Amino acid sequence: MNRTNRHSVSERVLDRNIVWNKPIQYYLSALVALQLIPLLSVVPPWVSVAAFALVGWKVWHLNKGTRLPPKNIVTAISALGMVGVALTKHTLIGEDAATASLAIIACCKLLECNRYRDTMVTLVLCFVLLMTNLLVSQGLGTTIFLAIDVLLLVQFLLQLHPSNTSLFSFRVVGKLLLYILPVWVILFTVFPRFTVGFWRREVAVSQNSFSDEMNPGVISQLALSDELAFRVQFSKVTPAPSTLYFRGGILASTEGLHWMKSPRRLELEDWVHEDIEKSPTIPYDVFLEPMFQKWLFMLDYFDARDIPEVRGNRAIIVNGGIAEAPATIQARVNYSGQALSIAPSQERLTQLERQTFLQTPLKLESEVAELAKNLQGKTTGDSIANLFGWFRSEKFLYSLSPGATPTMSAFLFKSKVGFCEHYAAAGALLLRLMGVPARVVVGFQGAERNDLADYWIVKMKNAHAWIEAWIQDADAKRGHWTRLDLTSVVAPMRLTMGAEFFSIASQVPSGVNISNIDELQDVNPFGRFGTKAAQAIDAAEMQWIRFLLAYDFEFQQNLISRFGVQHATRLAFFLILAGALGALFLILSVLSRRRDRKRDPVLKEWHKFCAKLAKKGLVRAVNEGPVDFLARVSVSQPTRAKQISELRDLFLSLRYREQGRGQQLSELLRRFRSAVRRY
Amino acid sequence: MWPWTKAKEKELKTMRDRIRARSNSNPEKIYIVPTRAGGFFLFTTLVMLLIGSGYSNNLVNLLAFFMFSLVFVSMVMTQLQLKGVLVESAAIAPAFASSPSEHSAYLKNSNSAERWGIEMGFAQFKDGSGPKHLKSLQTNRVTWQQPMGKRGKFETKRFELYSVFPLGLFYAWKVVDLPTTYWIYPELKGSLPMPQEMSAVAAEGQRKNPIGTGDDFRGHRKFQKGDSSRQVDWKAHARGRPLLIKELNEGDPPDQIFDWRALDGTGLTDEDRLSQIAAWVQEAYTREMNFTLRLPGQPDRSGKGYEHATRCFQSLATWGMPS
Repeated sequence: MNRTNRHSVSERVLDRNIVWNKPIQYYLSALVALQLIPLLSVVPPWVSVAAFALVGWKVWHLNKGTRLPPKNIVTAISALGMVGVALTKHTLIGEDAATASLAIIACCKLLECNRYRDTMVTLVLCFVLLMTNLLVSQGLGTTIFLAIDVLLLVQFLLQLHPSNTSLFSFRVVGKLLLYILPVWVILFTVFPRFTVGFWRREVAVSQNSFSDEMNPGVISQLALSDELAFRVQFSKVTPAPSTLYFRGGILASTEGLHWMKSPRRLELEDWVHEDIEKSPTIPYDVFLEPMFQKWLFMLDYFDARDIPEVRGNRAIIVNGGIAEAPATIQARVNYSGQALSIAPSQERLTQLERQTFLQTPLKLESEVAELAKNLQGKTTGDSIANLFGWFRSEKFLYSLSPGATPTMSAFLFKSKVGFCEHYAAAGALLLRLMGVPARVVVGFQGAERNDLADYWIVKMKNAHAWIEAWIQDADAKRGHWTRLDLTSVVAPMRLTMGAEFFSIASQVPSGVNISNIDELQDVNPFGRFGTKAAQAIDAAEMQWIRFLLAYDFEFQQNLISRFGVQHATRLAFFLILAGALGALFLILSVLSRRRDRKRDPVLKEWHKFCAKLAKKGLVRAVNEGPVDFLARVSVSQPTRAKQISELRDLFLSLRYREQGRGQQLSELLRRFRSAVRRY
Repeated sequence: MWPWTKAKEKELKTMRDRIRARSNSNPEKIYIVPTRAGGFFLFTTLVMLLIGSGYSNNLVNLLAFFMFSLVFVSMVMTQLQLKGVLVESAAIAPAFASSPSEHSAYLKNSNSAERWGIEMGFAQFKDGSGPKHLKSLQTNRVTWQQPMGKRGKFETKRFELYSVFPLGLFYAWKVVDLPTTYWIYPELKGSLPMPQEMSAVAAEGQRKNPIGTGDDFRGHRKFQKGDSSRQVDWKAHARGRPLLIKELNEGDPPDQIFDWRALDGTGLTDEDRLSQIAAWVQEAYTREMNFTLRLPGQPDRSGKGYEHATRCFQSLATWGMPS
């Protein structure tokens, strides 16, 4: 009988199990449905509907006990599904298209499944669907889902291959998991990682993400997103929340309220290094959520010596103290940086820089130009002071829903209501009109502290825009970019308490003074306990993400260097892995081969006695009972007949008669033992 | 279940030594290969590992490692199920064609741990025993039913133990050389009354009760294996005589003669004739009748009781076949 035949033997028996075992079919349907749930947000809606409909069809068949639809119909459905995916996604190769197709194929496989082989294929497809979930999200919730799902899948596999036709033993599950755990841990620890991913996910840009331009005039209401932007952890000093400015991008080209990235590529600035070295530094780690941009948000003030690394690649530093990842960031990354606590000075601006940062719109409203002329002071400092004074005196209002403000003059002279982008755009333009090089910086300001784990959470609603103006030193040789935030004049609470304050404040009638910060915190529907719980969950998630991100090849090398292996290559790791798995294999074999140590003491003595006789050429035949054997022995050794008959009687009574009488039994055993010894 | 379709315990027991003595191949040698499902599973795992590395996604790695652990552990566990399990004996009880036969085996589990999901069977049978559970440190008796084919005397050379436990990813097996002969008797089929009754019918009720329950003592004969204990003359045995069978004149039922030729006019095929005769032998045994089997080209077999019936069934099973 060849191997294929062997298989079919087993598979036939298993086929019988599948066909007759309805609970297994229900279980499998539930497992497929479970994989579809997290995919709801990934695959096109019609795919989800179709997939659940197919599962429903299967369950309906199981309930009714009717025959399953013929194979060619199921094949046609899956082909139709693929065509649908191709039409929706315009491809079948991309990940999203592949995920959608997989979901349909898995459901079709489930529908037609009535044999062992189909069941196994459906199960493996469940594992693959689970994996596509992990590509989309890697948070704590996903991990918990993964753990439960994997347990259910294994449980199903065990049900499918019962240890006995009727019995299902929990001991089997326990033993299996007990064996799996060390193998899993060894694999995770030792299997060498590849630091640079060679594939990238292509995902549509999220709506909440940052963009390369700002145009506050056309936004009548700013969406406040609670979505996480990144988390920051300070290892030494923690600056005050109001001074937490994270630089994202620099907008240097303006058309009034509309600001964009400069089309010019500027040379890197000449930082004055002795100046930087005097400044104390603030080291920090950022755990950035993917925003499908290249920006790496760096804490102000930017330290030019510090170039962050993302997954082993050095970031690109561009003019303006901005760090960019070499490629679009599509997955969670972490990087560390250090900030200076005082603004560093640099050599004079180049001609090109001057031109760039003094550019004004071609079509300038005359009122705006006139205002700039009026506010201009003798020195740069005077001009800035006048600007701030004017905004303070003109009673500007901060609002997240300022309504449409089509032009700069409409904002400055009519509505006088706006949010950070309005103020940054207006302030920077006015400064330029007064001859002060200025630019708009977009990024994040402020953060929420997680008290439980001592790190800071920056959400999308912390997004902010501010001005940087070039202020020359007295000797005119150097200068530095100074951060100016008009929002601090208009709405100081925005900086200390975050934008959320204004979303609440806009709902209370004007005149009500909310001064108590605690009152605001209780706005959380779950109260303080809810806040704590949310913090605890976020802290756990942070730790987990940090671990998953940190565990790369470098980390592994550091780990192994503690055992004295320096600069281990990936090959070395593979060898260690092979060795560890081999050792584990041996240990597992030995453990489950362990024989019973508590052997019957009577039999032990009897075997000793038999061994003694065997030396004299008297070997007991396998089918020879003790009585027959000893009769044969006493015939060949007539001199010892009495001794032998005593031994026989003792053995027989120990083995067959005297059961359950402890005292007497041990006495008999003692006598038997000495008789064997004497022989 | 008829007595002759039960495996004989004693035969099974003496077989243990035969296995130990004659086994050419190492009975402890375990072979293992991945099943088709296992191969597919492993392939998926490797692809997943590649994807995990490609996207630097440690969570995908975590899943791939888990799946690989499943493969690894199931490889160890599957072959461990067969380790320390010895086939002490196995037998195929005779069966009537197209009805299942009882296969049985004694498996010694010399491990201190239980063994799960072990299947077994004689080499040429497609269906095995199904998964069985073996208790630790003892000999487990396992029986299972196996559908059988046509009549005859057959031989099988090997007995196999195999397992896909726990996850069906690997298939491990063990081969034991175990030459075994087994019989498949003709199917019990046919509606004709016994020849004596036929003639009785022909004689239009000359004798209303052909079997009778008379107890006229006819004489003694020696006890033979398979004789009913009810027929033993226990009183004579108590007087110190050997076991004797009281032969009673059972209302004079003349010896039945199951003659192949006598069925000439019935239009039955050869196989149907054999089935009909087998059914008569079966009935005659049940009624404890004397009967004679007369097959063309074979000497007559006369007698009664289990041994006689068995020999008759065997003659019927191999009739017309090259011996």
